[in-house]
Amino acid sequence: MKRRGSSSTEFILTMLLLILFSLATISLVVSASGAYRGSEETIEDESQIRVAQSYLYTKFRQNMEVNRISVESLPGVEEKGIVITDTVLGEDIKTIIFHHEGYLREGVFLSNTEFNPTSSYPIASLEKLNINMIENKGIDFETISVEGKSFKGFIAFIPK
Amino acid sequence: MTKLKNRKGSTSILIILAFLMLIIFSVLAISSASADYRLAQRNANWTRDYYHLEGLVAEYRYQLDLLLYNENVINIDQIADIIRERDPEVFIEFTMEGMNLIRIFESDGGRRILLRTVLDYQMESFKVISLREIPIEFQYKYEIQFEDVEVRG
Amino acid sequence: MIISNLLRIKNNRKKGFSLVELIISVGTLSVAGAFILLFFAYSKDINTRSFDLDNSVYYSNYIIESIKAEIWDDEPTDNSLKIESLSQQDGIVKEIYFNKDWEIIETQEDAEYIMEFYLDNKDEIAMGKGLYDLRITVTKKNPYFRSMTVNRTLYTVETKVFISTEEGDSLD
Repeated sequence: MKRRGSSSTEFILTMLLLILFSLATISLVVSASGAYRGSEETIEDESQIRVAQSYLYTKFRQNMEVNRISVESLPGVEEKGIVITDTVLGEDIKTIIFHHEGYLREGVFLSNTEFNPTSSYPIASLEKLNINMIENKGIDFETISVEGKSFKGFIAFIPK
Repeated sequence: MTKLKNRKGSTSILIILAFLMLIIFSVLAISSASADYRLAQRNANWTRDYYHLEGLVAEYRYQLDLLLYNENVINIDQIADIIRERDPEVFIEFTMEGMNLIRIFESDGGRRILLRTVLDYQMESFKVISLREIPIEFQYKYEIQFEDVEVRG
Repeated sequence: MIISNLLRIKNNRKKGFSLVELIISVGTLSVAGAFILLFFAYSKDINTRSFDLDNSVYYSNYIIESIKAEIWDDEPTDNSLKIESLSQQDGIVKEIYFNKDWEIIETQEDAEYIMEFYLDNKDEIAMGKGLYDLRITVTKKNPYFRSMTVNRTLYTVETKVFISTEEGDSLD
């Protein structure tokens, strides 16, 4: 009489098949999560740039007056910043927009207050912000995202 | 106890779980991409709306310059009268600098731009002092009705 | 002995899993995986559309503001934007070509995106300045994923600019 039932070879083969199948399933799930993560990072990067560009344009447009907007070097900050000067009840208030430690930041300082980069609020995550004022014409700026995408912008001053 | 010992269908459970995870990731990817696209569209519409409004301002400034160029006006008061007659919404004020003209332009979406321009007393040209977008006031979706409190007793 | 063998077989059948089950599972997962990949492709396509729209807006803003300031910068328009004379010309159309990575290129053949802008002065000139209609249109040459539309208009902006009719300053 033949002995029926499983042998060790069959068992090993079956286990190998199961392991292969499991590995294939796991790799599919891992690659899907990797694809999702990559997609999310790209969306986040582009969203931050959009926020930064939109914010800068809106800020300029809401403060477009003669001799109100200037570009200055700021202590403790690598790149130049945008200074918007407003006079309220005889006192000068400066809104300073600058890039510091990976973020586009905005801070409000009174005339007698010293500028401090930490006394500001983060607006958007950026790698770099290059600002250049073209005399009597406008402000040329470039926003560089964390992933290295660069976008230029320009805002025209009021013509004289 | 028999059911727990029976390992048939274990691969199907694995398949279902894997399939569920894939579905979740793909739906999340599409929904976040769609949300981002809606934001991009909103930004584009916002920008388009702003430049349409700025176009109205440019046309207004052109009309003011044309007034100085074409009309036979002797003094600044005549210019002010002509402008008030043609545009009732303008606000004119005379200061030491000259004639200050303030006008607010509004778009259909509720956005506003304020134009402030000055004509000196020599009537050489209109100089723009301010061309600012006025922020839209924040409004609650559902207004809260405040009423007097009833005092009982 | 026969009974004990049969019992052993019956017990063995309760444990483990069948090959048929495995094959069916692999088949189901592969078909489902193909559909899932399609969803990921859709999300990538939507990402591309929003990136294209953002780029159209950024470049349009740059051009409009540069024209308002009457300067002609090197980027993104290079010197071809330098408009020789703004007076008396019936609409000036300029085209800027971009490749698929939104980099400016010279020729239309390799272009994926075309930005066309139209500057037209219809009214009289007053004190050396004229009112110009400015329209910028961005189109995509090739269709998006699973779309048949070619030369799709991505973004259009229309405005008016009040600028001098003399040649603009150039930045060197």
